Amino acid sequence: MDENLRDEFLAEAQEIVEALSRDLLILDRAHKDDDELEHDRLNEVFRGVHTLKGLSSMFGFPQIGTIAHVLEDLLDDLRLGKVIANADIFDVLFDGVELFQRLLVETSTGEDASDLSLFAEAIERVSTPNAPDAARPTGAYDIDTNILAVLTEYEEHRLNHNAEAGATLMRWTVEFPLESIDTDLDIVRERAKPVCEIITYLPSMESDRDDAIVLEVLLATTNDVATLRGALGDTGTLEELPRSTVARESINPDRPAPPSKESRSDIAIERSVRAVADTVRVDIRKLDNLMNLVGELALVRGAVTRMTEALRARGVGRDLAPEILRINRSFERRLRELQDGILDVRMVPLRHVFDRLARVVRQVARENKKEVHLAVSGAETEIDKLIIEELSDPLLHIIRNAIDHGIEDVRRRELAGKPTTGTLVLNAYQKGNRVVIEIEDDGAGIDKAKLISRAVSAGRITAQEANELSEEETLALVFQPGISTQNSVTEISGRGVGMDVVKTNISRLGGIVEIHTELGIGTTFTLTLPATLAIIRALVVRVAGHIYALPITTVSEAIVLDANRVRTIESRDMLDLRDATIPLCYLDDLFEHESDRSGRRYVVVVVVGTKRVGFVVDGLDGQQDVVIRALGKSLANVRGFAGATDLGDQRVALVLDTPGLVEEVFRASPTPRLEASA
Amino acid sequence: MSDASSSSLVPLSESKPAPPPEEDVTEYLAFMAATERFAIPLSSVREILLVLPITNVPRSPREILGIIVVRGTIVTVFDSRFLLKVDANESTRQTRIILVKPDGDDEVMGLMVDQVLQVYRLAAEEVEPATAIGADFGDHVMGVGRPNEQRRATPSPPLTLLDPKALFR
Repeated sequence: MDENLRDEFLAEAQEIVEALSRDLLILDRAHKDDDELEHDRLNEVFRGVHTLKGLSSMFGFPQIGTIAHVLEDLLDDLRLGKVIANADIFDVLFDGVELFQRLLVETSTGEDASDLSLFAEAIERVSTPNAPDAARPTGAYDIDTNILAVLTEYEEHRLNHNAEAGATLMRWTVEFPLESIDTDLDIVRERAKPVCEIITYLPSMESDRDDAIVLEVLLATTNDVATLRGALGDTGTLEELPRSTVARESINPDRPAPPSKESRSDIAIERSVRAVADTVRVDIRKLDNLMNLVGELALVRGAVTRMTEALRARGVGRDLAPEILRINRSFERRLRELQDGILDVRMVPLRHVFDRLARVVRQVARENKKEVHLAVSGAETEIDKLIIEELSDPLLHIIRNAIDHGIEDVRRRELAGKPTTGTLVLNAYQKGNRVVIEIEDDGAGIDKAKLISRAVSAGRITAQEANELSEEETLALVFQPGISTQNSVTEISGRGVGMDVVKTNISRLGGIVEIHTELGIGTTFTLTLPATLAIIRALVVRVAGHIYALPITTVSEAIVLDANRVRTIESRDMLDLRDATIPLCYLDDLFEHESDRSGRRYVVVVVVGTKRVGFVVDGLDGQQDVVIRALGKSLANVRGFAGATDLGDQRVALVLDTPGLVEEVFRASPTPRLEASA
Repeated sequence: MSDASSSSLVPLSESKPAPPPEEDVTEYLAFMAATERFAIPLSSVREILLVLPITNVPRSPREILGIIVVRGTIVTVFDSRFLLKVDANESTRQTRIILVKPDGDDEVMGLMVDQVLQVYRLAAEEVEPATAIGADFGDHVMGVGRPNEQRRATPSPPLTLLDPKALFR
């Protein structure tokens, strides 16, 4: 099959499945809270699955089609009130979403497997009609048989449902200009939502204008006319449908069959295909390529600037210099805009990961028989697509841990006087050019004493060292492989694997993890990540003739090294920086470069989380935008570097992994050092 | 091949002609490291570069000389001294970096050599497998190539044949 077509299908299907997942989570929440399920959201879910079914048969993905088909039947029964939602049904629905995800991955990698029959059986099990056979009180109203005739089964169900609930049925006859009817209807739907339910709208032939259409909107409401008027505006005529005195035994048997669901789905497909037209999906490698080109353009610009300066220094073309400078500045500005534009395209909202996590929360909570409420905020915060991909595993581990070990079971929570439902907060926000993600639970907190004793018995630290650990160092033990405060090993976590992955993955992205915990109150994990990986602003420094780049986001200041302000504490050199003492790290020592240490030297102060380190260098070469390129696998074991970058003139500089190095400085045992020369 | 100083890049032909089916022949690129002659399968060679500035990577193993950028990709350059256990040599006009991609999915590696010689087409009977020689070589030695003198115009001393996959492991 045509690759492009397939990719288009996959992307489209992925979007539908994501929306599906989102809507199901909201419905599940409502179900848990014993609220009535939002009927239009349920209908939306049904339509999504229906569209997916249509698309998958159109593009030839029979397995996805099969799943969509059985799910659609179940959802249809749900929206028609034949089956009442329960936890098992939601489980199956979420299983369906998982299955879609898996099939989509398998399809995109060209594999083909998965046992679908198990799922079909599960659907079968929960699909038995469990709703009482309601009387059909439609007959209690005098509804134009012409209208009744065109109601779909679903619309009829909603009509009955509302009538049963004692709602008043109204007919709103209103005229819309043809050219804006789509958007007008959307607005009406939004406005109507809080005050009434739109059962259906039918075009009427009554309009005497060519550029307008009269709609008959059938509404069900428990509000009075004035409220409706307030919401819908003062157009059209609004009349209550009279209740009939004689209940009709049934709806007119002669009416034509309602339009089949198929014909409606065609509309849905058409609509979703049209939606695709305003967005373009791009392979991220193409963007990387563009980004590289922009990076190279920036290098060219740098060269032009250097040439201009050289000319000026020689006194050549003095009269042209201001003009060249102006052109160069404008060039720089446009280049930056171009760069920002490309970066912007790479940015995706965190919602994609958060939605997936919400499903995990639900699943893990059920497996653990715990009650967990997930509160999400800041899902619209945008972050580089590549970071998103690397982020889902660490977040998954943290969340599983929080539910598994953090949030207590209902009995314990009751004993502790906490609400029986635990709360997990997922919060994200942008802070400068970094993105912060907080994962907070109101569980039992981390037992530090237990953590230390585990670490000692696992041989990670000695009893002696255990006594000297700071709070931060103690909590860092969580990230050591093979240490868990859990006595029992569960299927999900408690084996002490996972949290070390969190640390590794986050540092690889140039991010940091901080833990805050209070016994009995809860734990918060704070991840701070760069918003993008592609281009960073770097401070270029010289160390014994070697050139290195430091991500500017971690640099707080650069100052001249003043020997008078260096003190040696326990044979470690510390710098007095205003009111604080910060450890110094001599990069020439760290990297074993021969250096004569003559002349002026500099301290680059780096801040990572709450830690500060002063890196001592021989020279500062200014700031530059750099494109970070990954080091090869052959250098994967070498610590301290986030990558390398091409500075032009065939100069390649290593980019320091500042969070990693800061960590190293704080971890390193004190080593004797000669006093610093100024 | 002996003089390529006119250009910094000496790309090899992209599509190498398939070896003639009537003969079981493999092509090898021969090079010098110190005074010894080596050869690696031509199929793993991507490109031959003139020496360019190499950025030293602190804390890397001693066989790694550093990194270079080749059209946007970072390539790790290895020192043949440690990889092949030969004596050190200063960089000369003849020094080259051979870009090797051991296998389809592998990363491209650079191998700094003292001189690139020529391509040899060796028939199966011109190769002595390492197992047949019996000496205790490293894994990266596949065998010894003995170009048959009668079939060639110039005298061709034996070559140590290298397995690129094992070499960079």
